[in-house]
Amino acid sequence: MQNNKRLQVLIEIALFAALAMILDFIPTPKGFKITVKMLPIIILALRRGLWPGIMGGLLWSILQIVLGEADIISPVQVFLDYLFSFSLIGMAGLFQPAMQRALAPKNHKMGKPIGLAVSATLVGSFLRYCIHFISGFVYYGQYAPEGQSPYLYSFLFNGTDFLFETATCIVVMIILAGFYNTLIRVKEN
Amino acid sequence: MNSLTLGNYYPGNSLLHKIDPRIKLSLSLVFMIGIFFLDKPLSLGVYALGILVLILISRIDALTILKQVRPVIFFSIFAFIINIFSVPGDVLARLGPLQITREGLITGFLMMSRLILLVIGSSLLMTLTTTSLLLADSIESLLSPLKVVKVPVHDIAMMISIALRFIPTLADEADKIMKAQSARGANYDTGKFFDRIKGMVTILIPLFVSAIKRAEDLAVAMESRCYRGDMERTKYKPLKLQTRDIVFLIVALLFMTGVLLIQFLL
Repeated sequence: MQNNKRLQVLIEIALFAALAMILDFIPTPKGFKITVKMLPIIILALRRGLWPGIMGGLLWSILQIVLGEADIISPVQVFLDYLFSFSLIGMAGLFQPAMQRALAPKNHKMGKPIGLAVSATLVGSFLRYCIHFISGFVYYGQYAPEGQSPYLYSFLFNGTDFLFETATCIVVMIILAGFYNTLIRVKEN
Repeated sequence: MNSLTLGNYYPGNSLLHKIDPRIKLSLSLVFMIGIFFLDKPLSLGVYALGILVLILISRIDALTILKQVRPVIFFSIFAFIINIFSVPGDVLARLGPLQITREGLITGFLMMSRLILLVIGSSLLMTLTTTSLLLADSIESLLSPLKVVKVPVHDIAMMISIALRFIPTLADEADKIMKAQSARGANYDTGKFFDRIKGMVTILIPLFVSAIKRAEDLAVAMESRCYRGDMERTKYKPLKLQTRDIVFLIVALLFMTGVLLIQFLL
């Protein structure tokens, strides 16, 4: 039974990473720069915890590289911008134990789970974009002119992306609140 | 979902397609690191010639190659323009407070070509000529030394192949769900911003639920066929190094050494 559960977690990681890849094909409101591609990884992290979340993010980044969706300009940049930063989304899994407790059958108040889901999204997204920011000024910064701040450039560039993506994910997370029991709570069998 | 093209593999039968993917993956790392030392016109020019030879060997048409550059085109033009104005030197022209220098023009051009060559080189060696499954296999093979330090390389490889296998299936399912929800009146193209996000959620929920269900079924199916992660899995087509792979590797490494010698000695 133990092995079965482990296998199931591994496969869930694979399928959620695949989901993150295909959310590209779902129509998002036109004219808005929004995406919820991070959401599967955050939900995975809230379902299964820290390590599965991190593995899920890592797998997503590997899929992007393997399928040629990644912008590659240097090995270390690939490590920072893809492998490392996407893995950090899995840190949302820090909220998993509290989340599972809050979703226990006897609890009916939705306030706490929503709060936890929103904080998990914030933490995962924030850590991811911190790394994007660092890679931004290290790697893209060398193309910036001398005397102009690569920090500011990277901050503006990644900052707007961060705001849009996080805000969208949080809004969707809140709308999903009624479905936490199906999507996030892991039933003991 | 017919319009769905997965990855940017360009089917072909050239020498470059047949080279062992592990060699291609390692070489693209070497080339990527190497190009960062190049900032003289001559060494970059020779490097560009090498890339041209690779393109000719791969028999991939020019349009496909140019498409690879698209993601970095904006950035490289940006780097070019910034460099023209910012590098000090002989002034060629003035635009108000800005001045274009000869050195700026050269540096800008070199920067831009470096970025473009880098992108073309790595996509030629990796995603254009190697299927995603083979790339995943070679990642597993190159990571396998990490097994010593207890990195679950095998599990990662299993997850990559499952994910790759199920991306088309899940995309198909997303398509079906979208049509089903449209038939029920869900709407993600019109209306207010918030309504559109709500429309998106009507796709997300069934998609997530079915992925969870599918994972459960798949685990049971694999378990009942005696899948054990810790056992060495055999492959239908195991990767094997051949003479031509070694020759290709040696020629490519000699070329890179030559380019670096030109850069640092001439």
